Amino acid sequence: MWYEQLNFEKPKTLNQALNLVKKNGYQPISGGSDLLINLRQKSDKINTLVYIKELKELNFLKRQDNILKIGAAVTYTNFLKQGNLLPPLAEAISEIASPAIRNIGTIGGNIINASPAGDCLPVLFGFEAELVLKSLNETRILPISDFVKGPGKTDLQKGELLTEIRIKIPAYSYYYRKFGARKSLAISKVSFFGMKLKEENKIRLAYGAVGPKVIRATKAEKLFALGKVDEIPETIYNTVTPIDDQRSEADYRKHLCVKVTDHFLRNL
Amino acid sequence: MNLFVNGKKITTSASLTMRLVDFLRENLELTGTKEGCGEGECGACSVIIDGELINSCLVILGQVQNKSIITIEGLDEPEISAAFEETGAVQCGFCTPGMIIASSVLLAKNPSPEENEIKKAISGNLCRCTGYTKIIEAIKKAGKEKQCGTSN
Ligand SMILES: Cc1cc2nc3c(=O)[nH]c(=O)nc-3n(C[C@H](O)[C@H](O)[C@H](O)COP(=O)(O)OP(=O)(O)OC[C@H]3O[C@@H](n4cnc5c(N)ncnc54)[C@H](O)[C@@H]3O)c2cc1C
Ligand code: FES
Ligand code: FES
Repeated sequence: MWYEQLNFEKPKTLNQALNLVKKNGYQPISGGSDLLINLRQKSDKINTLVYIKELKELNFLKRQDNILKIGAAVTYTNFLKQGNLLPPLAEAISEIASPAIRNIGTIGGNIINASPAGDCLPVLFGFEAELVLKSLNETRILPISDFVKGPGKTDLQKGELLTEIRIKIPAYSYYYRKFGARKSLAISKVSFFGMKLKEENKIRLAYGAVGPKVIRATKAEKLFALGKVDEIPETIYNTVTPIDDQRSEADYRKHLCVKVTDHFLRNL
Repeated sequence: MNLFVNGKKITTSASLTMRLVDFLRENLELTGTKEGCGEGECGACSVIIDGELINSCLVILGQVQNKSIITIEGLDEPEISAAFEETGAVQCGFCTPGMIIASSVLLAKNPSPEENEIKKAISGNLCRCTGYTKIIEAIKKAGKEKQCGTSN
């Protein structure tokens, strides 16, 4: 493959990695399941791949009280092996692609890739996950909804690595559903994550693959808190923004969002 | 850099950004591992790395330093190959090495998998010829035979 001409670095520590990724032309590679496929488009900007997947500092899963901390290089398979850390995330991950892709792909890679159909994202938006971003001189902690900007676009700065995903887990119940085109390796057509906070009369609604990034239907969430549940369907229809060449397809996906929300609300 | 392929230590100065599938096929002449799509969709390039099923078209050498790789040539699973032959699960044969690799990873974890588990385990392996029924049958048969083999 043409990218054999690129250089490769395998730093031993996070600090060494941060010293490398700040250099021009140095690109982090974790599992590589997105990067190796998209490399061609970025090829004029990259001369060295910096391998971060095996760094100890990016490989941990910790639950302290109601805070879950996920190292950015934890693979899907390793997350699933830990069982019940966060059932909705495990559910979303277990539907990703194939076993072989789940052995390669990392949760951090899914976030940085920022695909509108990225399957970890609706659940992480629902939980209002925070991301820990480290560079040599600075640590930033940002809500995921601010960090992800649009298709393939994030607020990651040159020289920064995503090190940790931090999730505060309230008392909740949830419903997750992914509608895909094919049985496996499916890129979502619509994915939905709804959660009900047990201690408050509040819901959170997150939709994947129906906009440039995950959509949180905050207006509909407020209607719920006000008891105006009957206004939610129309609001959802107008909130999600699937882009499609064919009108009917976009309309179908909007209806799918309305229906799946309705199902969630009926089963609270 | 070093890696272990089918139990043998290999030392190479090949580029660390070379794809594993190319290294296996071109440098080591292990051509049982096939390349179909080159994009992680078909599973023809499946190998086992440290016990896990991986698409060798999506991995570069730098990522497998000191790791242990098993290809179809090094897989010691006569029951699986025989079951594939006997049930007619092989037509053109292009998907077969990948299917057998995926089957062996499944059967190592669970020798008597349900149909559903089998479908999940081979969900990353495409076959254009057989329609999967015979492949699923072959995997069930291989599981049974492996169990008999170990209990005898
Ligand atoms: C066949 C196939 C099927 C797929 N199916 C699905 C699917 O069903 N659902 C889904 O959501 N995705 C799917 N994907 C996409 C992909 O597997 C995931 O997005 C995966 O999580 C990416 O992780 P990675 O470690 O492989 O990322 P990489 O390819 O290593 O990295 C992706 C990008 O993120 C950057 N990066 C990675 N980690 C960090 C970090 N810690 N800090 C800073 N930058 C970083 C890299 O520089 C690169 O730009 C599929 C991919 C393939 C090839
Ligand atoms: S060639 Fe690797 S998955 Fe198709
Ligand atoms: S036998 Fe031809 S692709 Fe499976």
